[in-house]
Amino acid sequence: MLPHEKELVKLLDGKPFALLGINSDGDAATVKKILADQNITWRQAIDEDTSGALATKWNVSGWPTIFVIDAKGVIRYRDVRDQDMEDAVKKLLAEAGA
Amino acid sequence: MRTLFLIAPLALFAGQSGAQQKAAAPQETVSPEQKKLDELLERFNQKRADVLEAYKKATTDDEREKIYAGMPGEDFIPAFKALAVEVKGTDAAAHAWMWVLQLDQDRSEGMTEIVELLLSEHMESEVLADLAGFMLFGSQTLGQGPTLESLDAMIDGSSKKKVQASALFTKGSILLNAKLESSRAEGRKCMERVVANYPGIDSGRGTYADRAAGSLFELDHLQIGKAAPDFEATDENGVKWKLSDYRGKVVVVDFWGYW
Repeated sequence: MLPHEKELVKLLDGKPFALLGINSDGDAATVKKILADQNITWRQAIDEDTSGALATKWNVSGWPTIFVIDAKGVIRYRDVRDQDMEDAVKKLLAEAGA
Repeated sequence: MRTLFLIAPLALFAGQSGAQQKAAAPQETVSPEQKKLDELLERFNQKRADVLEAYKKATTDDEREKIYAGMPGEDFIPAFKALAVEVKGTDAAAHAWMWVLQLDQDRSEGMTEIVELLLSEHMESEVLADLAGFMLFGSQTLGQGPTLESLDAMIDGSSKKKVQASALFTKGSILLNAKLESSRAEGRKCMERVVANYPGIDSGRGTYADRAAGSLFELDHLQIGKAAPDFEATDENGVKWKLSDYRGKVVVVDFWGYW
């Protein structure tokens, strides 16, 4: 997952695309260290643990869980990984004329 | 980074350590049968800790695989079974039977009989909340009909709120995945009942009511083709952001952990 996500973020730099991580590893300090160690640059939400507020609200029980949302804010794909995720994002970017 | 499924059977019994059971009843004097169960759980947890310790020290994947195969599991079934028979009818027996069910990965221990025994002899035990949770996976072996019957028996037969909530939540989860539209509608009703009637009861990973609300929220708002519901979050630097800040962009929302 991670290597592909990093590649994707690099590849789509400058495009109207955002990768948003909802992290369940712990508090801000814990996550900060992981982000630094792993060279993760994209936006994060600190959701504390696997019973975090966002994970609970969005009924997440397996990690990673992925939603791909188009430029209009509509959920278009769920649980696509790696190449499938990249293809989905590219398709939606093309759709948005980007 | 490994994929983590919280609903895996291993996670189920990992959340049920002997320490937790002891902590739940600090003032009561420990019964002899409970002491026996605690000792067995201690042996189990010690072996588990030893394996994990060795696993951490291993340097090759080959080595790791071999060590991991030594995780306590089915090898403990005879001991739990023997204890359950020995202290028949006690709460410790109910716990021991639950361990047999959870450790029995290849489902060779006569699940139907154990479930029947738990329902007939331990209806008032809170352990049945674990049984109801377990039935989400056990239903494949038990069959959907008998599973739903057992869950109904717990919803109607136990006076324990936690058991009722757990059974209703599992029933809802099973029915929401059903093919029949009418079954799914019934599943929704189960979840609505959990939200309305069972607030604040801990399931081991959030309350049943919150999890049921999550199921309903997913059903209504997180399907493909639905407008993604907005949320507010705080990043690692304490900066607040909202999903709607990214409107106009293609967005991947990635629930993840580095574990």
